Amino acid sequence: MNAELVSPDQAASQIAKEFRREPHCRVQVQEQRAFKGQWLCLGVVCDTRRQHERGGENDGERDDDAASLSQNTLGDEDEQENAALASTAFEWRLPDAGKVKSELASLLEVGEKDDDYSKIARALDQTASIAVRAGLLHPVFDPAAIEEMPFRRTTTVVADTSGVLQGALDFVVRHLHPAARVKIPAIVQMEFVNFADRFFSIRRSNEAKAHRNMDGKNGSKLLRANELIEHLKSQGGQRTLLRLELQADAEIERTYLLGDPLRDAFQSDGDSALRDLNISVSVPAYADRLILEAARHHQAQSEPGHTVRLLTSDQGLARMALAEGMTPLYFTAVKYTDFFGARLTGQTFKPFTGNIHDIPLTLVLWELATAFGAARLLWDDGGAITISALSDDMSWSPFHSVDDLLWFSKTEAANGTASTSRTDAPTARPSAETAGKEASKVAGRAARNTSFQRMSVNSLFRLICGLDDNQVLDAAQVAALLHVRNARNVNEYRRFLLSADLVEVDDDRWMATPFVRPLSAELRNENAAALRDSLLKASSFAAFDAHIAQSEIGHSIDMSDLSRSATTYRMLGELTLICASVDRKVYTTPTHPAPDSFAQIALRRFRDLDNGDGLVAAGRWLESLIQHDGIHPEVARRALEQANEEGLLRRSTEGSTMQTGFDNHVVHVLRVDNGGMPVAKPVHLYRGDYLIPGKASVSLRIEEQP
Amino acid sequence: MATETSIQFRLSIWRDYVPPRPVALRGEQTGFQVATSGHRLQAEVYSWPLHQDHLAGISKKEIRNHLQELLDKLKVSRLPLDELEVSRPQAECSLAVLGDFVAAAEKAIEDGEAVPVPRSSGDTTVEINPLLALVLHLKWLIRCFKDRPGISVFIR
Repeated sequence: MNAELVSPDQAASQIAKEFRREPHCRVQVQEQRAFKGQWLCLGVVCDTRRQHERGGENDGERDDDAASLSQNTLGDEDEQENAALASTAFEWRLPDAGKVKSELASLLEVGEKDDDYSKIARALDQTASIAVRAGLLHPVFDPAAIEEMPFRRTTTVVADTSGVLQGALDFVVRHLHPAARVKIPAIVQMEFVNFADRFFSIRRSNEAKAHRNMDGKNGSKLLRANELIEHLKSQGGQRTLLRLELQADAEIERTYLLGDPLRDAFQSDGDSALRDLNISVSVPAYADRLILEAARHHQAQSEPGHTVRLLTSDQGLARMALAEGMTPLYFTAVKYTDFFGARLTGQTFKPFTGNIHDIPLTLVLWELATAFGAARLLWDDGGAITISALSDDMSWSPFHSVDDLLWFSKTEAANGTASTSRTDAPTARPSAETAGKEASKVAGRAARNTSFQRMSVNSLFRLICGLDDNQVLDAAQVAALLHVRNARNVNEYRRFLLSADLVEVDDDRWMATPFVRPLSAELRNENAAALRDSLLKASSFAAFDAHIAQSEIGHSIDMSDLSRSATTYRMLGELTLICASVDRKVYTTPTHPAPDSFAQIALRRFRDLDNGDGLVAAGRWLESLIQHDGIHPEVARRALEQANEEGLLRRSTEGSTMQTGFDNHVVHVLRVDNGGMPVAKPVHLYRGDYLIPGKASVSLRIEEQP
Repeated sequence: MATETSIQFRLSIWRDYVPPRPVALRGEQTGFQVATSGHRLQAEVYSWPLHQDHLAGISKKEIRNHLQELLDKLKVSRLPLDELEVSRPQAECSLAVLGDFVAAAEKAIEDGEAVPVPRSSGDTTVEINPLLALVLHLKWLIRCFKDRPGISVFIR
C-alpha cells in the first residue's frame, strides 16, 4: 500500500488542498475484515469556508477575507498553519439513523431476525461515542453534576472505562482542567488491554473460519459484528488514553491497581488448593469495585475537604458509589439515534465560557481511523484521502503514538485536477540521472510506508517447506523449525507469511494455504523467477521489488528505509535475481540479455577491465556487469556458458589458488543443500569457484570467436 | 479574551431551591419576609455567555426577527435578582420554550438560511456558523436538564 506516516497537521494541509478543488466530500469508514473491504458511509463533510467563498464571490469584504485563506502564495509553513486552522471550518451532515443502521447490517450480513442484529445498535452507539471523544458533541451529564461545573475548587476525577470510551473523560480534560485532576485507575488500562486481546482473538478466529468456509469444510458463522464492536472499543479506548497522556496538557495520573492478589478480575482461578475459599468464582463487577476502591483510596489520602468524583455512565457503579458516600460524576452516553441525522460543526462553543472551541477535521478522522481501522474522505471525482491505523501490512512503533502518526494515502482525482498534490511531477523534465534519483526517492517513500520483517532467509525457507510437508504446525514445531525462542521473532515470520497468503494462523496453529505447495516446489527446484512471483504476494516484498525496479542501473540503492530488515530483503532480492551487491552496495539487475547481446556486453566489459595481460579477475568482471549493465551474476554465469556453447565467444579461466582477498564481495544465490533443503548460499565472487563449477576460475579470459 | 461588554446575551438556568434552613428575604419596603413552603425559591445552576452574534449568518430579515422573537420570550429585562420576574408562570420560561427556538433555528440551518461568517483568529480569518454552534449547545443543555423538575431558563 502506498501510504506514509503523517501527523494531523501534515494531513490538514493536504485535505485543505483537496477542499479547494471541491468543498464537499463523503466520510467513510472501514473495518477491513468485518466489512470485507467495503466502506460504511457516515455522511458528508463540507468545507464551509470554501463553500462560502464559492457561494458569494462578489459579496464584498467578507469574501475577500475568506479568499485570503486559499491563496497559493503562502509559504509552506504558513499554508500548513492556516490549513490546520481552517480545517476546523467544516460541517458534517450525518445520515439518518435508520439508513446507516440498515447499511451497516448489510455490510455485516446480519438480518433483522438474526441474534446479532441488536449488536448493530451497539456498534453505532460506539460510533456516536467517537464524535463525543472528538468534542463535536458533549456527554449528557447528570444535572446535579453540571451544577458543580466548572469546578471552583480542585477536584479529582477518577474515570472508569465508560468514562474513557464514551467521551466524558475528554470533556473533563477539555473543559474542566486544570481545576479537575484526572486519575485513571490501573484496572481501566487493563480492561482496554483485555478488550484488545478479545478483539484480536475474534479477528484471528474469524480469519480461520473464513478460510475453512471457503474450503467448504465448515459452515461456522463469523463473529463479524463482535469483531467490529471489540475493534471500536479496544482501539478507540486505547487511543483516548494515549492521546490524553501524550498530547493533551492535562496530567493523567495512575492509581494503584488495588487488586486482591487472591482474586483475578478476568479469568477464573482453577487452583484446587484454593477451592475452599471459593475464590475461583469470577466476580463480574470486580473491575468496577477496583475502580471505586481506587477513588476511595485517593479520597482517604487527600487533604480533608478535597473533592473526589467518580466519572461513570454505569448505573450500578454510580449507585454503589453513592451508597458508599462518594458522589459520582454521572453521565449518559450519546445514543446513535441522537448522533445520526445531526449536523455537526468543527467550531462549537465552550460549555462554560462561551468562547469558540476549534475541533480540527483531522482529529475526527484520526479518531474514526483508529476506532474502525481506516477512514477516508471521498470526493465525487474519485479523489480520496485515506487514513489508516490497522492493517496486516502496517507496522506500529511507539513513536507513532507519541507523534500521533497514522498512515496517510491519497488517490488522485480521476480528471487529474488535483494539481496541488505534494507528489506532483516537477514542471521541468529532469535529466536521466536526476530522474533516476527522484524515482529512487519516490520508491523509497513507498518502501518506507510498508512494514518490513527481519528474518533469517534460511529459516523462512525451512518454515515454508515444513508447512508444505506437514500442512499444519503447532507453535512448538514452528519454533523448532525457526530455531528461535523469542516469540517476537516468530511474529516476524508470521506477519510475512500472512501477508503473502501462505498461512492461516488460528491461536497456536499455523495452517498452510494452497499457495505453500507451489512455492515449496519452486524453492526446491532453485527456480528464482518463480520464487519472485510467489513472494510478490507479500506486500513488503512487493514494495521492495518496486523500489528496486524504479532504481537506475549503476546507481546504488538506498536501503536505509529498511533499517534492521535490509539484510533480509537484500538477500531475497539477490535470490530472486532482482538485485545484487557490490562491496556492500546494492544495485538493480533487471537485464536478462539474449546470448548474442550478452556476448557483446561480456566482451566489452572484459576489454574495459583488461590491463593488457589478457586476464581479468572473474569477480571484477561479474561486478562490472552488475554495476554497468544490471546483469545478475547468476544470469551472467548462465549466459556466458550459453554464449560459449553457441560459439558466440570463447571463454577460458585460470588460477588454481583460491583468491580470498575480496571475501566481503558476496552475492547470495538460491541452492538446495545436501538434505534437499533450499538455502541462500553465499557466493564469493573473487574466489574463483563460482563461474565454472569444479574448475578454478579466479581469472577469466574472453575472446571473440574467430 | 472576551469581556462582559462583548456578550450578546447570557443564558442562565435556574432550578427550584429548598433551603436547608429557614431563609428570610429583606425588602426595602416590606422588611424581612420569611420564605415558607408557599414561596417558590430558585437558585441559578448554570450561566453561559454568548460572545458571537448568533444571527449574523442570516441574511433574511424575517427569519432573524422570528428567531429573535422566540428567544426574547425567555428574556428578562435586567438583573439584579429581585427583578427576575420570579412571578412569571413556569411554562413561560421552561426548556420547552428554548426547544421552540432550537427547532426554528434548525429549520433555518437546514434551509440554508444560516451561513458561516468570518471570525478572526490571530492573523487568520476562519469561518463559523454561530447559529449551528448555538443550536448544538442548547440541545446539549436541553438533554441534560429536561428531566429535572422545576427548571427555568432566562436570557438577559
